[in-house]
Amino acid sequence: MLLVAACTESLDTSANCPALCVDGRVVFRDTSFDIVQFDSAFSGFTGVGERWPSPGIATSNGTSFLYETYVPVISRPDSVDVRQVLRFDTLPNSLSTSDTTRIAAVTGSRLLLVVDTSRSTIPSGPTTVSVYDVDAAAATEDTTPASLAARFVPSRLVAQRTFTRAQLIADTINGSGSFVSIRAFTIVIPDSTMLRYIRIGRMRLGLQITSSASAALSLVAPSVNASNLVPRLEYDPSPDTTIVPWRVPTRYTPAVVNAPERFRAQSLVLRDRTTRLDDGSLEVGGLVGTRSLLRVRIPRRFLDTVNVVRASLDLTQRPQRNVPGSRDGVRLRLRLGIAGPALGTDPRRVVEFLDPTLEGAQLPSLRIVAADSGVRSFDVGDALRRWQAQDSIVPTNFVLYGEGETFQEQRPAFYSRRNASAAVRPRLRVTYTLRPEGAIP
Amino acid sequence: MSRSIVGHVVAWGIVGVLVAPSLSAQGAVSMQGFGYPPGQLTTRAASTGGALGEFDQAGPLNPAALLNWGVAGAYVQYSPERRSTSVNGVTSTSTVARFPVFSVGLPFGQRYAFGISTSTLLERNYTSTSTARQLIRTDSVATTSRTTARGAMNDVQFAGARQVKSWLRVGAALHLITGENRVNTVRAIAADTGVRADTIGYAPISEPSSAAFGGSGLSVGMELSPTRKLSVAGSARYGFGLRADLGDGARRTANVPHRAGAAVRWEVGGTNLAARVNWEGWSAMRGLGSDAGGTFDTRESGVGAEVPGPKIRGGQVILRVGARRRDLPFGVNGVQPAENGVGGGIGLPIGFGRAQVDLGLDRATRTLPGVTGVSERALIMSFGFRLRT
Repeated sequence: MLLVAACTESLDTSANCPALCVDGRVVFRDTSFDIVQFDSAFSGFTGVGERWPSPGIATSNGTSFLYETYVPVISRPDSVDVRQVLRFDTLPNSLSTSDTTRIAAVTGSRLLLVVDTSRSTIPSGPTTVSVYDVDAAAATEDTTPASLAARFVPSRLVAQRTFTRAQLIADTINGSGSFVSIRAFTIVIPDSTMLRYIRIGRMRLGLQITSSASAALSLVAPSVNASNLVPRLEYDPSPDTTIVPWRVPTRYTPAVVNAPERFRAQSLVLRDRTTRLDDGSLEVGGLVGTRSLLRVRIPRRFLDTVNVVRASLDLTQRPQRNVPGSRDGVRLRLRLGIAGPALGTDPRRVVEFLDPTLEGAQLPSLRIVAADSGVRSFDVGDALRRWQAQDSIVPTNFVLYGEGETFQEQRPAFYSRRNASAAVRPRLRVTYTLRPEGAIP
Repeated sequence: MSRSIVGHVVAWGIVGVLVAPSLSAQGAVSMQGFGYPPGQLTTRAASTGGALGEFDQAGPLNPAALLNWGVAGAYVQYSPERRSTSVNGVTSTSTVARFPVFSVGLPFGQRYAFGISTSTLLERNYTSTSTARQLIRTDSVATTSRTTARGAMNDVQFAGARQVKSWLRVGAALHLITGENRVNTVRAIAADTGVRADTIGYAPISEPSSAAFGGSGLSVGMELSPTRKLSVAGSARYGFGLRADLGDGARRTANVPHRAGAAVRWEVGGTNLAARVNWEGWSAMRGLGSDAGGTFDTRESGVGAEVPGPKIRGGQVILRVGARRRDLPFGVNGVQPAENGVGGGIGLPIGFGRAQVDLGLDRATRTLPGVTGVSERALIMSFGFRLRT
């Protein structure tokens, strides 16, 4: 009995600390670094909404893609008009995949779109989504924004749907109950019109949103890997119930661009009259998104010799008091970019793709009021710990973007490294402990 | 400034003291520094206050004692310790398992014997958690440090002995010091709830570290029997270099502690009465960085008796009793601990004298002289198994 009891080790001596323990406390050190080597703001982000070939990423078929999750349609009557083009370049014209009888008539023709209401601004009053035919079979260049914009004319109007915020919120897409903020709506297309396009073989639709108040819809992009959420056309080719209606996703058959996945959706910025500071400040957010890039380098010797307790990227906010919504908070987030083959070193490309799984990670966000001033500390401790685990000494990036991009108009700004006053430039502040090098454990 | 990195220490919140090199938190009087020295005593020797340590062939202290094997044999020992440490009225209890001695003896003719043994020089196993309140920038934070230490420093001995005269035995041994300490300290940092200047999170700090020990020494010993009933024994170890290869690539060096001991045994009516003194120069290890709490040489003295007991199935049961006092090598804030112990045990012959089981029970009290409110009591059970061919 005694032997059995003695076999069980119990080595906890905590009750005797600190009297018999020597190092319950530790020295914390605090350091500031001027680490930003390059910073700049980039604008015009509306969500590409498409997969882009990324040759740097090896996959089984040799090609991989970057993509955005949402594509916007925006209308701010006095300043912003962003529209969307959806391309359905292959419309089946047979009854089914096994029955090649050509379609003679269709019923139930409609365009189905899915919107994330948490990323949208939907007025309580009527909002109208208009669908235009923006196709031009004779055009050799079918992606030029100016050419596409010119086709949003009444003669090309295909269909419309008007709804209120309450109506949209009440409608829930079947089978998507887990997405609490996801809602679907359909736009009925006249069957005769649909049949005409089926005989042509393709349909390129332009989406425009209009409302008496500011409105912005974040539509689930075609490239999202969820077939029940992506934009699609539906039509029933036969009254026979054994024949399943067609559900047609977007597809783009390029004329000149050898990139088959590109431009199934395309954002068109027809108007952007929001005022930018344009003085080198680091602006973030807005209906037509602005993102800021900060390229940084931290001494390798420092990373190799410390334990990072906490770290912040301290940015000094430049107050924006005379802009719409300046007293409302918006959430800004940092994306850690780790230089790699997919994003490369082109600054525009680095800020364009925010996929957290691709050569980087998302860091904690911070709520910012555009009218405020003072130092704002973004938590970058996780970034430093990731860099510690890296062998590389290449510069890495922080991308600062607004989570309300494309549906919140506020665009907070921060002073850049080029500011004349060193006191307001970005800096890294780290609390750390020294690793106990050379000490007996 | 575009290319250069400008850094400057703002010097905030330096509220604790961490002296490097230092050893991690221990939480027990006997667990300071590099740990607790079990004493390289067999169950038999420990039960007699260490007094028979110089005469026990299974122990690693005196190589001349190898000739006492008589025939080839082997020995293994298990010695768990249950200790209670009190600090200002707060008592905690912990249990540690030790396997302090393994040995093999091989007589070669009537005049020679050889042996290999491994014994624990210092044992260091503990887990402790301590908390402290500190200031980081403007945040009041609580740091909780959990330290887990595992490992030991061992003495591997290759020894030989010769019967020079009928009354004189001598021996010599080569000692290789091996072993490893692995310590991992995880510090969790939590800011107090309340008003904070920012929302920056705190990450825990993990500080794994290790030290692999290597060293060597030579020892000599003798056993003198001027009369049939009186024996005197002595041994000494000369320590050479001792190094610690740390996990981060650094190396620290010191010396293996010297040791010298002497003992006398007198047989009276079949009873062995013995006394022993021992000195060990642990201060030679200071170069390893163990001096934060103090590293001291130690003195040890013990007396004991081994009395024939009843016979069971033709074998002689041995009864043992003893007491000893010694210093411990690693101090607390510069104060050297002392250990007093009393104990006893029995030796049970089995297998018609081919094997013997030794059972021992020692009660040790450890104190810090001059320091009130701190004490430690330990119950050391000991199980030795001795096999003879």
